[in-house]
Amino acid sequence: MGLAAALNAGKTSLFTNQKSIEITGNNISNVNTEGYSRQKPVFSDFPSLNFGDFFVGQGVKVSGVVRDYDVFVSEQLLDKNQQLGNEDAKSTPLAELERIFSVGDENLATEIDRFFDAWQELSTNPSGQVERDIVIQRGELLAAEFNTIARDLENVQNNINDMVRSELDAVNLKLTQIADLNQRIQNLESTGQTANSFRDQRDLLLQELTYSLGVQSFPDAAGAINVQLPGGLPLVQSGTAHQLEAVVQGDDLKLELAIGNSRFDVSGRNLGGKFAGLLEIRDQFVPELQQDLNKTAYQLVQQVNSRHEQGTGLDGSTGVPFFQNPGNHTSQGYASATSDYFTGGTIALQVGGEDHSFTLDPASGPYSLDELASAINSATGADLTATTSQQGDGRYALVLTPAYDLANNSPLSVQVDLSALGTTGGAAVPEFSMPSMANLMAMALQNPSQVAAGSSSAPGDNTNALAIAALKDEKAVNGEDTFVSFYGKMAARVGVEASQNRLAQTGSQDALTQLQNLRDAKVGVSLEEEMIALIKYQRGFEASAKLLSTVDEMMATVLTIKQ
Amino acid sequence: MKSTLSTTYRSLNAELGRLTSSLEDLRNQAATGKKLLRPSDDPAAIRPVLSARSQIRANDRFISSLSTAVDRLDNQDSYLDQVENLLVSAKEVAINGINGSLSDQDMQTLADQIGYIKTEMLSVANAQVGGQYIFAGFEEDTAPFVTNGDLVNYAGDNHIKRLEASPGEYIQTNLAGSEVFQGLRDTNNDGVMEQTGQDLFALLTDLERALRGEAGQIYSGSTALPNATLGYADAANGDYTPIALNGGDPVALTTSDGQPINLQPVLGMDGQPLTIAEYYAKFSPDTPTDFNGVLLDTAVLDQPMYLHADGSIPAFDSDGKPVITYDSGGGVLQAVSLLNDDGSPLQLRLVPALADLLPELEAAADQSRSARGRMGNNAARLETAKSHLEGVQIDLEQILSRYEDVDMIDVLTEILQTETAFEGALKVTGQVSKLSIMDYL
Repeated sequence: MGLAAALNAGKTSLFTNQKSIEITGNNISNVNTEGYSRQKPVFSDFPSLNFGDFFVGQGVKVSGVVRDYDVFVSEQLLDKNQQLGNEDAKSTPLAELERIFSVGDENLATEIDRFFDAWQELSTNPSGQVERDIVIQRGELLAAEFNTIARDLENVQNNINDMVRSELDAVNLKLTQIADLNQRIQNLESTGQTANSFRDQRDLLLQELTYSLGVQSFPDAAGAINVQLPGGLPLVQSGTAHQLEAVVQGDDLKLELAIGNSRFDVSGRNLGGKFAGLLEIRDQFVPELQQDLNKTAYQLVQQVNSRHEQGTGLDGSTGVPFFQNPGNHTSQGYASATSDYFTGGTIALQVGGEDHSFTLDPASGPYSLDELASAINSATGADLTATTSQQGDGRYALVLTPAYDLANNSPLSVQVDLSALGTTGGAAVPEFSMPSMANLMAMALQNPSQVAAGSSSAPGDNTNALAIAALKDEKAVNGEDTFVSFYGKMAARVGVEASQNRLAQTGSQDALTQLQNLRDAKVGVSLEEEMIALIKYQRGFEASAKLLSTVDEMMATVLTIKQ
Repeated sequence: MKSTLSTTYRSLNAELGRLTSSLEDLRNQAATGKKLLRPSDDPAAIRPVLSARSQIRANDRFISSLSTAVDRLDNQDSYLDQVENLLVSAKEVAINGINGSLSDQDMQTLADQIGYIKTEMLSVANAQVGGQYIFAGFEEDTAPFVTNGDLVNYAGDNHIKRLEASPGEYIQTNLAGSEVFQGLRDTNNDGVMEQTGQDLFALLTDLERALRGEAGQIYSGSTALPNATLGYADAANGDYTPIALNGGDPVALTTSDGQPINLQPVLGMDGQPLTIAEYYAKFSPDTPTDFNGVLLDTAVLDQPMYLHADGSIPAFDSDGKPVITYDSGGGVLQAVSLLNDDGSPLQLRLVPALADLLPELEAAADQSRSARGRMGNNAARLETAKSHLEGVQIDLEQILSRYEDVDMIDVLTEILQTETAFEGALKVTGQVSKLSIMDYL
C-alpha cells in the first residue's frame, strides 16, 4: 500500500462527503415540498486489497441514494384520504340541505302551521272576506314553499353534477400523470437507479386520487403501480391510463369509464372518496328527501281537498278542490306487472266525488297488477285511467290518472284505499303518492266565495273550516306523523347526517393530520437532523481534506529524503 | 421519532383551525341567542322544537278565538238580559190587566203596551253584532225572525256555532234563536227539534189578544176567528182551499184532543224540514198512508212532514199534504187541506185566559234565564280555559327555550375559555420559529 492509495482513499471520502452534503442540501431545499421523502446516501467501502497479508480498505463510495419509506404509513394515508374525501364531499351539499330544511323561524313547518291557522281564523268568522282571502293566500304560500324546497333539492343535485364535472378533468389528468410516472420509473429503475422523486410524486398523486375517487392501487414487480376503482374497474394499467367521462342524460349526469372502445357505467358503488360522497348524496340521500317531501305534499293535498270538496262555499259551490288535485297517483314498485299479488276483495273508490266500486272475487284470484288496473278501469270509465308502468328502477307501479276537470282548473280528485285487497306472498297493498307532487303543488281555488268554510252555504257555518283546521293534528302521513312532525323527521334526518358528517370529517381530518405527522416523523425532513448531518459530513469532508494534506506532507517528506 | 418543522406547523394549524371554528360557532350562539341554528346542531331537539312552536302558534289562535267567543257571549248576554226585562214588564202589564177593574179603553192601552214589548222583543231577536245576526244559527246574514201577521216565523237554522278553544275542545258560542225565542230544542239528539219551551212571540201575541178580550178565541195570522170551525172555499165545485169560516160544511178546528190545529214543519238540525219519508224512517216504522188507508207512493214521500203542536201526526191526502178529515155523510171521508194558499201550514192558536198566561210568562222568563245561565257558565269556562292556555303558553315557551336558546353565561364563559386557548396557541406558534438550531451553529 503506498501513499498514492491513501491519497485515493482520501479523495473518495472527500467526494462522498461532498455528495452527502449535496443530498442533505437537497433535503433542506425540499423541507416544505409536499410528499417529499427524506433521502439519504448509502455508503459502502471499496473492496479491500491484499497488501502482503493485510487487507487494506480503498476508501468509500456512495453506492446509492435511497428515500425513507414506510409502507404502513403510506397505506394508512391512502385509506384516511379516502375517508376524508368522502366526508369532505358530503359537507358542502349537506350544509345546503341544512339550509333548505331549516329549523329557524321560517320553514315549511311554519308555513303548514300558518295554513291551518288561517282555517282556524276563518272558523271564527266564516263569512269574512278577509279571512277567506287569507286562507287562499296561505294556501298559495304553502304551495310555493313546497315548490321552493323541491327546486332547491333539484339544485343540490345539479350543483353536485357540476362539481363532479369540474373535478373530472383534474382526475383524468392525474390518471395520465400516474401512467407517465409509471413509465418513467420503470425506465429509470431498469437501469438500476432509484427514481426517488418520481415515486414521491406518484405517491402524492395517488393520495389525491384516493381522496377524490377512493382508488385502490397495487404495485407490480416492475415498479409500476396499477390503479383501479373500488369496484374493480381498472384506471391505470402500468403505462396506460383510462379516462372517466361524464355523460349527460336529460337532467342526469352519469360517469362512464372508457377502456378502449368499450364503455363501462361507473355508479356510486364503484367509487370511493369524494365522488362516492357526492353521488351518495345525489342518488340516495336527496331522492329519499324528495320522496318524503312529495309524500307530505300528496297527503296534504289529498286530505285538504277531500275535506274541502265535502264542504260548501258561500256561493253554494261544493266538490271544489282547494289545491290542484294530483295529476297521477303512483303506487310503490312491484317486481312484475303480471305476477299475482292480490287475493281480491271489494274496493270502493271515489273519483271527482262520484262513488265507484269493483270486486275481485277471491275465489278466482289471486290477481296481478295488470288485472287490478283493468278492474279499476272498468269500474271508473273515462274519469280515471289505471295503467301499470315501468319505473326508472325497472319496477312496475300502478298509476291512476284522473281526467282533467276544466271547470275547477284541476284533475279530478281520487280517493282510493286498496287495503281491503288482500295480498299474497308478502306483497304490500298499493299505497299512492305522486312522484313530483312538491314541484307541481298549486292552488286550484281562486274565488274566495268558493272557500268551503261550512257544510252548508250558510254564512255562519264554520264546521268545515274547523274540520280542515283539525287536519293539522291528524296523523296523516304514514298514519303515524302529522305534517309538521313529518317535516321534523326530515329535518332531523338531514341534521343527523350532517352532524355525523361533521364528526367524521373532523375525525378523518385529525387522523390524517396524525398520520401526516407520523409520516413526517418517519420520512420527513427535519432541519435539525439535516443540520447535524451537515456538520457530520462537513467534518468528514474536513477530515478527508486533512488526510489529503497529511498525505501530501508525507509525500513532501518522502521527497525531501533525497536532496 | 423526530418532530419536523412541518409537523409542528401542521399541528398548530389544525389546532388554530379547530379553535377558530369553535369560536365562530360560539360567537354565533352568543349573537343570536340560539343554540339550534341548523338541524345538525341537535337533531333530537327538532321534533320537540317544531311541535312546541306549532302548539304556541295554535294556542295564540285559540286565545284569540276565546276572546272572540267571550265577546260574543258578552253581547249575547246583554241581549238575553233585555229579553228577561221585557218579559218582566209583560208580566207586570198582565198582572195590571187582571187586578184592576179597568175600562175597555185601559185594557186596549195595556194591549198596545204588550204590542210594543213584542216589537221590541222582535228587534232583540234580530239583534246584529258586527253586521251578523246573533240568534240566526249559521244563517247569520238573514234576519232570523220574520213577522207574518201576528205570527213570527223563524228563518234561521238551529245550528250551534262552536269554536275550537283548545285542541279538540269545541265551545258553544251562540244559542239558536229557535231555542231562546221559540223553545225548540233537540233534547234527545235525534236530529229533530222538539217543542220544549215557550214560544215568546206567540205568548206575547196571546197576551195582547187576551188583554183585548179575545180569550177563548182561535186565531190564525193576524185574523181573530170568532168560532171554532173551518170550512173550505167551494166544496161543491171541488175547491178545497181551506178558509177560515164560511162556505161548505163546517169542520172541527181542533185535533182529536181538543187542541187548535197548529201545524209545524219537522225541522232537522240543519234547519231544513224533513220529508215524510225521512220522518217515518226515523221515528215510525209504519208506512204512511193517506186518510183512506192507501199507501203513499214514493214521489209523494218527498213532501215536507208536518206535525201538530202536540206531536201528533196529521192525516195525509194522497198528495202527502196534511189534511183534516170529516164525514161527508154515509161514512164517506172527505178532507180539507191544512195548507194555506201559499203552501205554508195552517197555524191556529187558542187565546188563553189572562190568568192562565201568568205562569207561562214566568216559565218564559225562566227559559231565558236558564239560557243566560248556561251561556254564562260557558263564558266562565272560556275565561278559565283562556287563563289555562296562557299558562300553557308560558310552559311551552320554556320548553322551546330549553331546546333552542343558549345559556348566555355558559356561552360567554366558553368563549373566554376558547379565546384563552386560541391566544395560547397563537403564542406557541410565534415561539416555534424563535427556537432554531441555526442560532447555535
